[in-house]
Amino acid sequence: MKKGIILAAVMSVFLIGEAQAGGPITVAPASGTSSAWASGDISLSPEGGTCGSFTRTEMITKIETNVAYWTDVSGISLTIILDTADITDDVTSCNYTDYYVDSSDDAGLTDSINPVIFDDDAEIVAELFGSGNQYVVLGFAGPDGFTSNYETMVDGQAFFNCRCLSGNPNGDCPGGITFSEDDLNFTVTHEIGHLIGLDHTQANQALAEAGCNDAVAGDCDDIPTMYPQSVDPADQISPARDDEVAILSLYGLATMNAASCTVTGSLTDARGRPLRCMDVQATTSNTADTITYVSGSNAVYTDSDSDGYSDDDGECTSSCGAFTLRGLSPSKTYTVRARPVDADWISGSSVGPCVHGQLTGVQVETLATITSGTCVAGATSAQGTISTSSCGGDISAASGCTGTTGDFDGDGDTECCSGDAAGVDGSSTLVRALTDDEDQSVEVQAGVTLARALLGTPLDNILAAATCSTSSSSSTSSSGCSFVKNTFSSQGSWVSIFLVLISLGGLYFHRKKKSCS
Amino acid sequence: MMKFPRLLFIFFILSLFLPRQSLAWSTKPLTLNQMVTLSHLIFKGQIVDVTREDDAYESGQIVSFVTYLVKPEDCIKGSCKDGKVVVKQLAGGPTTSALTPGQHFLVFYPENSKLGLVAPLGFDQGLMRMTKEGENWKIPALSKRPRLAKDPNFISGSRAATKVLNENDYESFKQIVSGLVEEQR
Repeated sequence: MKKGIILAAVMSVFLIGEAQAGGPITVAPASGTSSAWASGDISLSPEGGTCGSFTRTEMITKIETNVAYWTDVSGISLTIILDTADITDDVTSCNYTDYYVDSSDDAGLTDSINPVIFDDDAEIVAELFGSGNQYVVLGFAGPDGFTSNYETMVDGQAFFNCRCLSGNPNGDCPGGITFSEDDLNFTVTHEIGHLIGLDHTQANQALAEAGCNDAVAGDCDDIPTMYPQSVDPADQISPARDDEVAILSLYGLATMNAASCTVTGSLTDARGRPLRCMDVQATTSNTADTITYVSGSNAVYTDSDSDGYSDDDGECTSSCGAFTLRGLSPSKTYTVRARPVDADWISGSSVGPCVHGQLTGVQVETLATITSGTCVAGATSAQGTISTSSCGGDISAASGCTGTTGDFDGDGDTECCSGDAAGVDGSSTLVRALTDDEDQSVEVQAGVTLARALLGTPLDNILAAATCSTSSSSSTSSSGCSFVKNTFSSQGSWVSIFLVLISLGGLYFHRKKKSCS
Repeated sequence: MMKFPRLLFIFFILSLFLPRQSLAWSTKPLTLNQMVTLSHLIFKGQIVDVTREDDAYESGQIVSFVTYLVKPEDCIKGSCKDGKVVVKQLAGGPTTSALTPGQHFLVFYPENSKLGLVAPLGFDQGLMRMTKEGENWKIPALSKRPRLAKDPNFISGSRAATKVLNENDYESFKQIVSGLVEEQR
């Protein structure tokens, strides 16, 4: 039975929507509905150990205090309780796998235990993300179990890094790195935010970029709690309006909508295609009012290339450029702008759904102005389809362009919008070569979906193709069909190397558990 | 006789719940000095291939990995002499799906963990997507990195912080990073 469950679980990971910015961390792919906990009643189970110089009792108090920043949001229907009897073990790098990603475990999905782990010596962070990251990563968290339609979360986890807290018995961290108590408090609020369903936001990023002074209370109050970095933690602990709208969208939508205005619309790029991954912001003259939404966040997806993610070419099937800005005050005047998502945030901090190719050739544009009194409480201001001048894919030199040309980066010159037909990847020469020749894309099928073959991921699937075309982007080798990408070769031996390493990783896990048992 | 229906019931209940990690992080912003200190490997390179694997190991837990094959083009710290870098990273979010073959990055990697896993230092901080303008490679403006912007003493020696903060030319930035690597030897 267990094997069957695991297989089902493995298959199921290919179905879910991706994390969103300024909103839900997961979305049900078939409906585009944001995932949330069922009853708004969540139980957290703190571990039995300490966090640096903070005792377990002190940590429990910290969790209670900082969780209240979410549960005290006006209009929210969310209760978080702590069950301190569930985990009495001191969780370390030797036993954390008893709790971490336990959702495929028979018990893990039904035990109602959502572990909160204090990584006292950062051995867990170091083990999962590399040694140097134990001094950088403050914590990580998120849901890890869902009902079959992914609309409801049933399991989650949170880890707090205690290594560089002052007074940690493990000693000072290199480079003068220290985590303050404010950092810890911010981490608790931020990571529990992930566990209950929130993702990162880049609202008011300019404030963070301008630099905040840790010593000045209130100078960066408007940097959201769900901003990916601890820039000014004392000011980031309490949720900004953008955070409040995000959490109310999950646990207080009707109440929020009744008291506020909603602005909707759908973006298209210069070629008339849905424009995903634009950070749509409603702003006033007061940065405290900023509300964000990434276009396409609640789109309906498929995972046509079976890579477990839903942000590649052609995988968005409807509402791909749609945006919904909730929680606007009817008495204020807002400017609605589209901005590119910062490339910094999509490589590790899950502002999305984006791939890097979507981030070039996009421009800041004003989409609408919502003047005071024009959008009353409980109403929706529908902006319809808005055509932008952004490319929505990689741009390149105009010479030899077979696609759309225009000044996509606003520099006064003409560029080529070189994203492929679906317009959301634009990643490599291979992609474009294949999409230029439909006959070739048929030849690399061999049980593999077209999108997967187009992206060349994984490479061994392409190598296993039965035939090989004679186009300039491919060549025949003794191992079958291999493709020459750009200026370098994708060699079969390299594939072997990382497959071997994957196997070694599994062996490491095996050894690790044995050495700690 | 009673056992089979009970197992069937349990199977039914469990089939209603599906696992899927959706982890997200928070990080402490680093100075450039700290990034160089904590990095085991710093290089400019191009992603050659990306592969995702879902492994079920002994406890039945599922762990997803994404493996990147990267071709180093300019090694600033550490050894790139093999001409390739294999990076195995824990999956669980769009961390990995955002990266596709053909893209160029300047990356700061810490040492691999005992499990062979690694992620760019500070995730976003240690992964800078590069673009080419004519013959010159560009990196994102460093002024967008909060800690660097707010700490005028983030870089040692006589180089002016303001110059670095506004610098997005790769060759210039490389000289600065290389200088820090030398100083820290």
